[in-house]
Amino acid sequence: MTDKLIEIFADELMVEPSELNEDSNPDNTESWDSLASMRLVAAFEETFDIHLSTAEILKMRSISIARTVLKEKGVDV
Amino acid sequence: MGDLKLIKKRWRDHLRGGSDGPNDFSIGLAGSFTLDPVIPYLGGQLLGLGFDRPEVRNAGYNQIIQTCLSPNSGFGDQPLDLIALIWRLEDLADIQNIDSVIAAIELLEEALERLCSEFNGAIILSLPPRPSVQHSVIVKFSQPRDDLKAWHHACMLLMEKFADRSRVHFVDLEDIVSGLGNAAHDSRKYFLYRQPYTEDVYGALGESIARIVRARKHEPKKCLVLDCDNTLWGGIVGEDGVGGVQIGDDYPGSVFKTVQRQVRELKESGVFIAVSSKNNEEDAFAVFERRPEMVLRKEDIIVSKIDWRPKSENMKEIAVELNIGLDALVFVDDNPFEIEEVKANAPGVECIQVPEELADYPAAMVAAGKLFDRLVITDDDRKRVVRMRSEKDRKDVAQKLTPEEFLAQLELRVYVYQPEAEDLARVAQLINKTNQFNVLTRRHTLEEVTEFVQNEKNLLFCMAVADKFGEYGLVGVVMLSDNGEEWRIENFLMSCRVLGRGVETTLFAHIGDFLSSLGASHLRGGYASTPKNKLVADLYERHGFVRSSDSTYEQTGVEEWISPLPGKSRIPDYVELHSSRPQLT
Repeated sequence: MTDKLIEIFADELMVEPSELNEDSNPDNTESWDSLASMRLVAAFEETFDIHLSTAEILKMRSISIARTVLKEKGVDV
Repeated sequence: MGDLKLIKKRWRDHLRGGSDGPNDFSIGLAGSFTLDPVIPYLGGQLLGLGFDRPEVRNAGYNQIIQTCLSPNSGFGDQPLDLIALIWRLEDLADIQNIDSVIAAIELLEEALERLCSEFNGAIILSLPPRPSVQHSVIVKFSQPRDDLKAWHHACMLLMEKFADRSRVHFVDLEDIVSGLGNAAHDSRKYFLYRQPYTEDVYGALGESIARIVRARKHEPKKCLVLDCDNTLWGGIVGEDGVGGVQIGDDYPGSVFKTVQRQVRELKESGVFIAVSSKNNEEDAFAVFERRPEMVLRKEDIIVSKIDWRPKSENMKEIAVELNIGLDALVFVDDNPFEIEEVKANAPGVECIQVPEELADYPAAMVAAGKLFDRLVITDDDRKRVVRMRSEKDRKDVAQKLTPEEFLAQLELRVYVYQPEAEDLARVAQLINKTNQFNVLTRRHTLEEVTEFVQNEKNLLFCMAVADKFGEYGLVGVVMLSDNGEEWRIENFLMSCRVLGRGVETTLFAHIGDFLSSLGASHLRGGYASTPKNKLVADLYERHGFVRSSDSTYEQTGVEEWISPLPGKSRIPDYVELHSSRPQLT
């Protein structure tokens, strides 16, 4: 069973879910550039029906941090 | 935006599928701002148009001028079918400084000229959106902002300079951005990623580009079929009476009046308007005749089917009477039952239901109108509707005479000639929309036709037909290539409007004489069977050709025929042949 959040990351970063873990971040993941960040924001907002502030967007520099930020917004991930 | 999500998903699934093989359509994008987000939407739309392996490449941020100067360099030196240049004025110039804007536009104009001469595919150019105010300005109510003057100047200049070129198409970014209002901008994205627009804008931009691609390659719909009650007017004429149905300047009549204006615009650009309604015919027509608020008049309706039979039967009859396929019809009705019945029993008809929220109806009609998109509206399109009316007069004469007597009465004039530049748009249009009387069904863009004509080894003949009831305009095209002593038919097609008059025989006779006079000995022709062109399966046989076992065509599945020249076809007695272009009347 795949983790929903990892699935979104894999989709937007165009990699296999198995290539990602909680520590994945823009420095250790080649396809995670600023365009990918932008796509991730769009995907989170669409999927979870939330609105992220610029501060929250900038903070999400790893999968685990993204998970924390999303949980704080009441998303079950 | 569920639709956008689906389009994006279609593209991603396609990329994952990883199918190999050559691309069947390649687009290169160059933008003054980040265009990557448009790729999945544009790609998904192209898949939706039926391309198997479309490709969208991006030259990267702010590569517009570079792309114009060397069109292939930014795209990995692969040939492209289309280049789209999408830009904003504020990215190219200091919009508070009109001199800077003028300089930037001059540079862009020069670069575009260069692109037009270096690149032979299609070009899409955005009209820039109105600059948004990113700074605080004290509004001078007595004077418009300088940046607006600059913006108007830029738009005017580009439109004047590039609007009449058949290969250059415009996408109006201002229309997209202002149409979405607040939903177009996302200040977070702008400040974090220098990306001014929301996904909605990218989705709409992808759709606009795809519409142009579709109009260049695909056949447009031809006839709009409308129900009456609660579709052309509010209420039910059989119950509410002629005076009781709602049409006019107050809600809900105002919505229907708006829709009727849209329908009329479509009619004026050459779309057939038909009516299919379950009603008593005299009741429905009484509304057209006795309600002055009606925008549509009875004369605007080319065919009407007002009866109590299933609407799918109406659709089939309308298609037959107009000599078009069921798939050229768009049907609008408020009743979901009728929509389902037509979908089930008249497959191919595009069905649109009047939205439950009546205020959304005009927007739905705008969407329906897109199905009729054509890039160039020719004079022939405008005349076509008039012509269909005289077609009906002709049929009335036909019923009283034998076929020969009928034809002799028509005073047919057939014009066979090599095209002038201004004929080519119509030639390309005919090549792309003719399905039935078309032996090879080879489609060509306007540029391909132009290139064909410029090659000295080729000949292209147009055929125009007129009779005492009126002109049919340019209705036939033959493309021929010289292979030494033998000439070959590269395309042979004719509008079905002139069937049964011996004009194709006239055409064969003329070509035969013409090629003989050039010293050619044989004419070869090919027939490639499609679901729609059975009509011409025996065309060659009827004109004295015999089967040839050679296979010289690049296309597969072509049955080949050959005839010595000048051939057996003779001009029928009742036809007057002119080997010149008809004089415009």
